Amino acid sequence: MKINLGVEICGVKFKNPIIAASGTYGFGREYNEFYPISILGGISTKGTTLKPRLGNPTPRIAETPSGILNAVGLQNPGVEHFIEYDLPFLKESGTNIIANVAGSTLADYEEIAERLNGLVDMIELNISCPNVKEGGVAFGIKPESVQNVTEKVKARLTKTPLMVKLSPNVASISDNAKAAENGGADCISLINTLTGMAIDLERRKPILANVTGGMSGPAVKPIALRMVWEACKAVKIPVIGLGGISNYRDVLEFMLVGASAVQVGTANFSNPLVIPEILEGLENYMIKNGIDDIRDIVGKINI
Amino acid sequence: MKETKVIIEKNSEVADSIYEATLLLDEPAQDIWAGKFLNVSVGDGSHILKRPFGISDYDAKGEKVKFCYQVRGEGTEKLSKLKCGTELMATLPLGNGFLLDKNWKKIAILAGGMGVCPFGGMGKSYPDKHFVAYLGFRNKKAECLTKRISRFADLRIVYDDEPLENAKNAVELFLNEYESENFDAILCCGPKPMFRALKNAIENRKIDIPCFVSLEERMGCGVGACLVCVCKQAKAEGNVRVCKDGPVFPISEVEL
Ligand SMILES: Cc1cc2nc3c(=O)[nH]c(=O)nc-3n(C[C@H](O)[C@H](O)[C@H](O)COP(=O)(O)OP(=O)(O)OC[C@H]3O[C@@H](n4cnc5c(N)ncnc54)[C@H](O)[C@@H]3O)c2cc1C
Ligand SMILES: Cc1cc2nc3c(=O)[nH]c(=O)nc-3n(C[C@H](O)[C@H](O)[C@H](O)COP(=O)(O)O)c2cc1C
Ligand code: FES
Repeated sequence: MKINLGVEICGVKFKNPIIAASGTYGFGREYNEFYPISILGGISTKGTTLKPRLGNPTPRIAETPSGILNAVGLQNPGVEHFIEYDLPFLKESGTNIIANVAGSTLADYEEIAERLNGLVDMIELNISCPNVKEGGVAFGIKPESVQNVTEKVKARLTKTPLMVKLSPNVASISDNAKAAENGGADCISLINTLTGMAIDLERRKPILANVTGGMSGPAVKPIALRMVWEACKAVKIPVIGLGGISNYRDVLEFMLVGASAVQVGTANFSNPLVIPEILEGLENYMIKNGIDDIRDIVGKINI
Repeated sequence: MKETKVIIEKNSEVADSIYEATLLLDEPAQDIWAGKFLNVSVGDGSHILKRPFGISDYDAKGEKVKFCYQVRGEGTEKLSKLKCGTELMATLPLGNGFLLDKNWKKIAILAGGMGVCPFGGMGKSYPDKHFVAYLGFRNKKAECLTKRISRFADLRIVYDDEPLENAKNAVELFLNEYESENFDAILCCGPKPMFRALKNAIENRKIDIPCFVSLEERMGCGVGACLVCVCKQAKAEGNVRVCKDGPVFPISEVEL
């Protein structure tokens, strides 16, 4: 049986619906030592800003039951370094490049979008990083500001489709999804991390130097799935689902509620081979269940 | 580095809350040498992060590795209860390890507490070098940790609860002998205050031989992708990743 894993999202062809999630996968070099990253549908690169950022002090991570909290604080080498050093490697790698970008002001977002216009396959607008005050989360909370930043950035992106990444730390995910759509987003991705906290009881201190951090991993999956389902009902543009995905069954659940593709983040930490294993799992599932096109799953939840 | 299934061949308490584990690798690993580490699952799905431990010994074929660990929190507690034959997943070998210049003959090892563990394989990695190890432990109970290193290094030991007249800790022990010993390099692994004491001594006594420290930091991916485990560079702008660029760094190049 010949099966199709390929999907098309706002005109961009993906060889499969599995995208590595921003911040968990660097620029692909490290996991390329485990398997060729050409097998990925796409890679969403580490959140990049106009100027290099050092990020937060350490500890930047804490483990929580079936999850983690992180507060990296958008450490990145800046957009020029990305273009010069990482982009050529990624172009060679043969997977779709989604540049995840962040900024502290509207002007930052516009400038970085303009700089990357036409250079990558898609731009993912991170207006949802909870770990830096100026990391864009201010733009990601209220629907009006989601729409505003989306409009401004979209105006600069004449050649590259725009994916807007939504924060789950909001009043209504449907309203924010619609706001991104109204602002001209070509697609949306969700969820970014949920704000959380962990304490070292002996020292009576927060484990993270940043005090709070963003929660991810299997523990957030039910919340993410519910939000992706709501977003899919709210908008007509494609939705990319993520949050706690760690095996092929999770992928299918997100696609059933309507996600056109998914991203895999924290699961790479638990198992560096999780993405190749997911791809194998998907194929086997489809063969076993007589599904010859992955797109036939999308939105086919029975309610 | 690779991801492989491992089977616990041995997992026994060697001192109060300190364990030594031997892992059989399903797929042999190449390029293991002293100072590299492994990241191992703790056999419980709710602890989604692997735990990093220094490789304390390995066999030539790369089919077997050992590490020593102290029970600290939930993960090491879980690990300590695992029976022989249990299957886990491990990523290894990770990090740069100790890279010694072929012209160096005599090397000083400075270690505090569990910091002695990553030196265990040193004799195998560098059979031709002369090692002198200055070790500091809280008390005599930790003495079992010196078994491996005693096979290839001359030992000088100090215990916190029995300070020597002229040395309260491993750094002081080393400084007492430094002038007369003619070392080519210093390697250090232990708690942060130990690194700082060594750094001060190097500056004050104008010690000009190469000196390396093996750092510890909380990790996410363990392979260099997530930027969770960073340390500030002392001389340049920017951070280094403990898991990928380290864990071993020249002492002058990192902020301690
Ligand atoms: C490169 C490297 C080599 C190490 N080698 C050894 C060794 O040979 N022997 C040994 O006993 N210990 C070693 N450690 C420390 C060891 O990793 C921690 O003691 C262990 O992870 C604690 O896990 P836990 O589940 O018991 O603690 P928990 O507090 O329950 O762990 C929660 C999370 O924090 C992390 N964490 C907690 N303490 C530390 C720490 N001190 N360093 C890094 N991560 C920590 C855990 O890995 C886990 O992700 C090493 C650490 C690093 C980074
Ligand atoms: C260490 C770490 C760093 C992250 N950095 C970014 C980032 O730079 N930009 C971004 O949009 N999301 C970032 N995220 C969020 C993830 O891309 C993802 O939205 C979230 O972790 C939920 O998915 P998961 O449970 O599969 O990890 C980061 C997550 C982690 C764990
Ligand atoms: S733990 Fe991810 S970069 Fe070091």
